[in-house]
Amino acid sequence: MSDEIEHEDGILGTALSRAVESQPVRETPFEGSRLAERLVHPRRSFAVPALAAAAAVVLGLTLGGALLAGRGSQPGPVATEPMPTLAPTPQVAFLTPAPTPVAPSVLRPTIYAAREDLPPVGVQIGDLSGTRVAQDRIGARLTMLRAWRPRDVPIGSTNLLWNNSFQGGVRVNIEGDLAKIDLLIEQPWTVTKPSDDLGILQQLVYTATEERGIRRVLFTANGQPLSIGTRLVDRALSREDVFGYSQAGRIGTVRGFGSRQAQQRTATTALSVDEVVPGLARFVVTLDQRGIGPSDPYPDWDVTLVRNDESLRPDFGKWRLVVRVYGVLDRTTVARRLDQSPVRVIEETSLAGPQSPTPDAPIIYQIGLDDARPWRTAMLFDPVRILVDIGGPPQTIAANTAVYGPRPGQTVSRMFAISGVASAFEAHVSWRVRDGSGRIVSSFGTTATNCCEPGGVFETIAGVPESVVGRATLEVFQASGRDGGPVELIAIPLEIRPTGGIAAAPRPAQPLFSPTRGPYRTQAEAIRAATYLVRGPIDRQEAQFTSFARLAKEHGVRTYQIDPDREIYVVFVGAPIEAPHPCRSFVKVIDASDGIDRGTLCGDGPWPGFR
Amino acid sequence: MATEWRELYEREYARLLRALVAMGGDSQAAEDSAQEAFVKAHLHGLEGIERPGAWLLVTATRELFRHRRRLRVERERWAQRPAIETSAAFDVAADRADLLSALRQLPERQRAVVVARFYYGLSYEEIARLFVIRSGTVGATLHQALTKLRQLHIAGKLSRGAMR
Repeated sequence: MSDEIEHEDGILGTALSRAVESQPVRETPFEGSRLAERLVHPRRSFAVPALAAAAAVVLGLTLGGALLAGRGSQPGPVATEPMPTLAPTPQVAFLTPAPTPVAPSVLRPTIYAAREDLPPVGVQIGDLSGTRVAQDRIGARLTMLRAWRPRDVPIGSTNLLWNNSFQGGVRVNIEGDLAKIDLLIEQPWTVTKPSDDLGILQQLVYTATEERGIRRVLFTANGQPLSIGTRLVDRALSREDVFGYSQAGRIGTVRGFGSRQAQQRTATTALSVDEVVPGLARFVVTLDQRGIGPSDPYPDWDVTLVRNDESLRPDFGKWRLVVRVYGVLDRTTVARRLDQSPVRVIEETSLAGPQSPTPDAPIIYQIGLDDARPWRTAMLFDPVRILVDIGGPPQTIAANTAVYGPRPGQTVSRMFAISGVASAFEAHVSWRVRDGSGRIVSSFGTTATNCCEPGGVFETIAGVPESVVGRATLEVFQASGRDGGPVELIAIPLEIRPTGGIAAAPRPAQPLFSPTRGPYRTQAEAIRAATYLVRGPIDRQEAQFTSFARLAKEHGVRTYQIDPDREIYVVFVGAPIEAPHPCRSFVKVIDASDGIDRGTLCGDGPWPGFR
Repeated sequence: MATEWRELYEREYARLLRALVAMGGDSQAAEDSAQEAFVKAHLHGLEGIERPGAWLLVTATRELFRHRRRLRVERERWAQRPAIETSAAFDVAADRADLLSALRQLPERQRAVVVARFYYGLSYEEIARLFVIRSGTVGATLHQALTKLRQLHIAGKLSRGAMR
């Protein structure tokens, strides 16, 4: 090889190296890796039913031919790497349940409308019967966006491409899972507010990647890099690049360790979208099991996010969330087409058959999703419920904590509810409020219904002194295991109303209703009952982990028995109630010296000595 | 124990992922393969791996190409799979992407050797040992790969673009 050729090879190699290095990649953090999963649960096998194992063998044999063909006679690292075992990965196992088919609607295109500060929502519209190839379908969907009148767009969303710069004219070029799309643009995009540029980009990316097999799209305009407002598009984008969350959902499994004992339980499911909070889909599996004890353990379950293979199941969309619950029956086994973004379809499959639950045959719920937005799980008890929350407002979601209320920018009274879902050490979630100058004016913590992974829901009522009005910031966070400092801090700007709350309400000398007279007949009665007053400061840790009876004695406080058999809504007089609390017993601690909420204790039964 | 795996993961994962995306063009498949390679490394044991970074590259590369073969079989079932079109005027915004695209038109072994040589900086001897091919074959494979890139008539132009 001459020096000149070697030099040219070196230049080309360097260019290649730089091109490789310049590729944007989404790095799965170590905690979310399969390796970390393996290190945490080294002996936990993905036990699957015989059907799944058999299918895995078939799949293994199918792949084996290709594997051997690819390997040839090469030894080396391949020879030293372990032979593929029959213990299937979750992805393999999840391919196995015989699906209940849902007719794929390939000719009914889904296009996406923008939502402010939220991922876009898909709507089935129009007809693609005149298109035969993927390029045409992508072009047709984008052209439909241009012509989608605002009055036809779902309430709460908008079509930012209506009467905007793009008037049609699309060139589509497909390479693998990448679509390169050149738009004919005659004038700059109209962007009326800062969030519009992301909204337009979301609509374009989601709609273009709706085509099956397409995961990324590189947009250009008139052959040049696409510019929308202040946003320059200079690389291929996936839905997860534009959905607005700081990170994608965990690609892996969350487990709710329970028992594989068959309990002949029946499960029912429910789905809500946008009801708890905008952008959130909540899937709930409710078991006919009230309370738990050593002899009545809750069932084993897990939830896993996997990529959907659209060549096999186009109706599921890009991603699938697989929920497996062992030892239960759901007699309503069906496939449901929903198309209520982000949920495409829910398919329920019981591997146990219709007769009775068996320990190792789970019922499987597969939820088809538009994208890999963050998701989280929680457990509630009495009855036992498994919550799977998908998405939510991007501004109030961290990796292991999601705050659903209050909403950013919301105007609240001096006492307001904080609610959400957390997977936290000892189930502890902390909060503090800063006033307009950044000074911390109140702080405390609360306890979620379930510890650590798989997480629980939390709800507490926060309060600030009377002097705090106007701009404030609520910060919800977890304590670092390393130094106790705040991690996963979610900052929510608020406006504190100058009137209302305790300051404005006449402080009663006695509770309006005696809490001892329960159970309350109505929620309104419970709301009006002040249950527990504490005078003087309470140490934060004590409040969380020490017997209430002792605290009450030390502080000379009157205590009341509250009804442990019902869900009771207990707040200080004058505070609003917005959501039911999942705890069986629920005690608020109000410091009567300053009226500030010191936290909430949540339990499964009456607190000892509570009289 | 977990610490050294974390360190290895955090040191190698991004580089490995980029290499796999460059070779396969499918970020999801690349991620799957990279994750699988780490799991296999764990099964194998770190003490038995001389150069973990290179080991992961070779293992993940084989995983990636295995996955691509499976996908190819699946895609044949797609009734309306469109043919790939090319349009030189279209690619103004993606010089580097096109250089990678050219890379992906090479046979799999050539791709792997190019990435191992130029992105991982492995020597001919190391590549030969890890991929279990003769040392002379490494040079020949590299030569063929680079020649093909030039023959595609985009390598020189795009490499200058990529150097900018």
